[in-house]
Amino acid sequence: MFRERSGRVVLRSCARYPRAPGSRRASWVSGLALGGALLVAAAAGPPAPDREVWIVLSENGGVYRQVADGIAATFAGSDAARTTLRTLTRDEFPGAMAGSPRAGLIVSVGVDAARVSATGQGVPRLFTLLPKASFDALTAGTAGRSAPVSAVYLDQPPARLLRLIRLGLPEARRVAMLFGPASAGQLLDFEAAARDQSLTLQAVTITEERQLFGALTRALEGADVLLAVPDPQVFNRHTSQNILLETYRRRIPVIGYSEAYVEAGALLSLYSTPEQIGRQAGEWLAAVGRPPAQRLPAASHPKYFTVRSNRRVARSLALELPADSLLARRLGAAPENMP
Amino acid sequence: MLIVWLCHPPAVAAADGRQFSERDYLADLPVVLSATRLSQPLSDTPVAMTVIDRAMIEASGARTIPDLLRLVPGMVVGMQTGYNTVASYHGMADRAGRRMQVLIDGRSVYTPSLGGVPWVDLPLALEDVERIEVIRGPNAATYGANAFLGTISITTRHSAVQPDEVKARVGTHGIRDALVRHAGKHGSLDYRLTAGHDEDRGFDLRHDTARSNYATARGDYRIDTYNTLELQFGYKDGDRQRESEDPPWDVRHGREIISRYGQARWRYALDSGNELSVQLYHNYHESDERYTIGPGLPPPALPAWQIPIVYDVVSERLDLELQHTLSPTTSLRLAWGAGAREDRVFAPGFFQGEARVENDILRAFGSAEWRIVEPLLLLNAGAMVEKNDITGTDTSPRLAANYRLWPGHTVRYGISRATRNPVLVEELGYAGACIDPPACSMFIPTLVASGGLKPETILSREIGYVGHLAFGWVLDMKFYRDHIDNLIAVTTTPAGVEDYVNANDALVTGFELALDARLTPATRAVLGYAYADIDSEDKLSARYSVSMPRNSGSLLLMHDLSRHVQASLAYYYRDAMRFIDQKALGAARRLDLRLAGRLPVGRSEGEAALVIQNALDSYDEYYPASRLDNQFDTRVFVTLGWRFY
Repeated sequence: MFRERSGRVVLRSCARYPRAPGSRRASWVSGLALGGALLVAAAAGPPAPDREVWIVLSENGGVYRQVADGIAATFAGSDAARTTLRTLTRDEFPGAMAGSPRAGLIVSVGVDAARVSATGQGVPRLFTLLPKASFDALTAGTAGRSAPVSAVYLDQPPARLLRLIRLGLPEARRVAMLFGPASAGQLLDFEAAARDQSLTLQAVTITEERQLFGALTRALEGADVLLAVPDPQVFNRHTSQNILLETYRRRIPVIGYSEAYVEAGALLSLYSTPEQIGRQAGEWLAAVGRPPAQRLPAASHPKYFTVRSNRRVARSLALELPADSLLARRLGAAPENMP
Repeated sequence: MLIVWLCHPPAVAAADGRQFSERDYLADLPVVLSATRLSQPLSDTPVAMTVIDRAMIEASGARTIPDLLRLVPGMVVGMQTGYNTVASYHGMADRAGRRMQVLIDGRSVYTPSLGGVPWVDLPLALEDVERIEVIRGPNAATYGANAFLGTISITTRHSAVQPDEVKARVGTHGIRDALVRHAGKHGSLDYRLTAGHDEDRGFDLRHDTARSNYATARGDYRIDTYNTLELQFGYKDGDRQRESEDPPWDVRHGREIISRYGQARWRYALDSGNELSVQLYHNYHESDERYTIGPGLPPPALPAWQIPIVYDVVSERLDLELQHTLSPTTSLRLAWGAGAREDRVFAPGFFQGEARVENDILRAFGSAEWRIVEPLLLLNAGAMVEKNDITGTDTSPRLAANYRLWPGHTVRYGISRATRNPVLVEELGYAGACIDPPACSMFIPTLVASGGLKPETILSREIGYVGHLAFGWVLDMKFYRDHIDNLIAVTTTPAGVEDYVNANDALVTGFELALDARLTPATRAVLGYAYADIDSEDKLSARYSVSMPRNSGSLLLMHDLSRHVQASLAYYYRDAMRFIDQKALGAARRLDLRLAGRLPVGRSEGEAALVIQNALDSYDEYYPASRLDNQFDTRVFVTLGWRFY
């Protein structure tokens, strides 16, 4: 069934971040990483029959359940489907781990689940539905440990977001952005991606919410579009009102990061649904085969994503947007999505 | 053997990464730009529209809202005194200007007693205004009763987006204005409190000083993701100098006003296309004006020498409205609703013998915006049915089709019918003077309304074009033909008693143009032009045919000299015309200039502005040169302010 291979390939997937997330080289590397992982799985030989995949949910229900369902649906159609998938909540996890440590691979859904599954050291872990910043914080200092760790981030890659601006608003050149303590680490990535897309970034970083209004005013001066990235101090349910009202007053469209943002009044949102995250995680599980997995694909931004626009806002701003599906298709053809 | 390295970049966000999670991505958000908050683009409106935005408000140098309305093509604006300004789209105005609907955040402020809008008495700071939309044509289906010749819809700024501010203005003609605003946030409540004082001496040779103090409050309370409650309150008091305008009863006196309102609106916004709102408001306006006319006045046979004149007016309006906006499909948007209103007036000087007069109005409205062929053809249809105590039931329908010729170029054909119901004084007025108070055995009437008036009706047809041209220029043109019937005019009996009757019809035809052009990244020009021809028999000396200038126009030029310094000029021109109750005014031109500088200091910003209103020769406002000398000569004022973000 599997062809044995020998040789030594070292994939330094850290080359992907933080330097050039959207580059051709990065996608080539990540493609190799996935291919490599497949080969690794093949090399691992027949697994122990009783190892399971545990899906740990931050909360039972809601988006977490949707991710689990997405994983299960994708996984069910694959060769690895004989593996038992066990779904448990974050509260059940420590007990289950202590009682019957049969987990061969832990898939966490959400940051809280990722945090408790850290007690499952020694078991390969795949974190899903969490921001890259949270993943980086959780795994800081654990590089080189025996069990592999990977993630499907919730954030979209900067290059994809800026490419959306080029496609949706071809005349826009100056992109306003606001960063807070949680998101400031992405600034360099966005600057590099903006250069690639011939866009100018007008970024302002704040340290607390009360600086927001002044920072917003500065960032919006002369800007053609505001690109929102999540940060509890900047873009949250309390500030969305100020930001959307002020940008609308200046007739500056907002690119949001969720379906809710587009309903609230953003022009466009680019995001991955829980099902899409689940689908990618399921594909990875299918690819690595039966647990325990020796290797996992490199942590990466979501492969599947959704573009949604608010046509009422577009009309009110007298903007003519391409269809959502066309924007998504054209983004899908962008370099970082090529296999 | 294969080894895949996974290495991790430095955890730059580690400090706050603990609080940061997927919840920040997936959180529910309130619908901010809801169906009723989004303004329609010019290319989608069923009626021509002019938007005066915040940048224009500031650059114009205007101190009052009627001054801003001079930027609207086809708007006739006249200062009847230094503080009482009449603004009417397509003219046909006397000192009251009764044929426009005026809304502030959806609250109707035209006065039910005498008609018109007491602009100077409105508790509203121009600094709190977000934008002014002027709907140039009848549209009762959307804007309710009295949206006859047009509608002025003023939107104030949401309290969440306003800074703290102090501001003072000093200038010639006794101009002394001050404003202080505090805006804040308390949990889910955004609020602002504004207080101010306005004062000027009006025209040099007239007895028309006006002083006002006001305070307004607005709270935007977010109950949960879907529900918001907006509360507004306002209060204003002031005194205005008055002089009798018809000699020889030339008596100088004063008027004191109190104006206040309360407004509550609850919105339930499920998503950006579905919204339910309930609005309740109450307006109260009190104007106290009493004086005595003395000996030597006609008729000479009067037995007494002192005749008290009482022009006290208290007007109240209570209005409840429910509106539901929904989008059953992506191509169809519906809005429907119903409302009830009670207008109450206590004005013994105008309704002799009746302590209080009332008019109850019930209304139901519906409109549909149907994109038949997206994005080519849009159909707008709507109607309002209104039942009031004076004229019974009236229906105001409208229909418009907007057709996109090619991207950025839209033509519109619209037809609309609307009615104006008589205001209370026209239907029920009974004014005069007792020669021997308090016995009042001899009452000499000056106004006896015989009643039975029919509503005025307008049938308006327009062909419009909206072009979004290169460089972000927007061109808006309209040709129109309006038939107006049953215009109410004053008739005077041989005994000198006035009455209101349906007397005239008019045919108004014309062309209007508006261009908003960004000439360079630092320069914006807003140009307006109107040509009008009014054909009317002008019965009863109501000279409708000349109540609007043949040609009129405006140009507002804004230029950023640097990031912090802006210069602007506003030029206005109109041909000769006359207000309905006055003699002919000559052509007039006016040039306003403004230079403003901002100085950012940390998280605050200072601003200084110099405004010169009418740098050209003086011209006549409202009255031609006469005893009432309304010459608008050069006014200069300086504004200093500080904003805290």
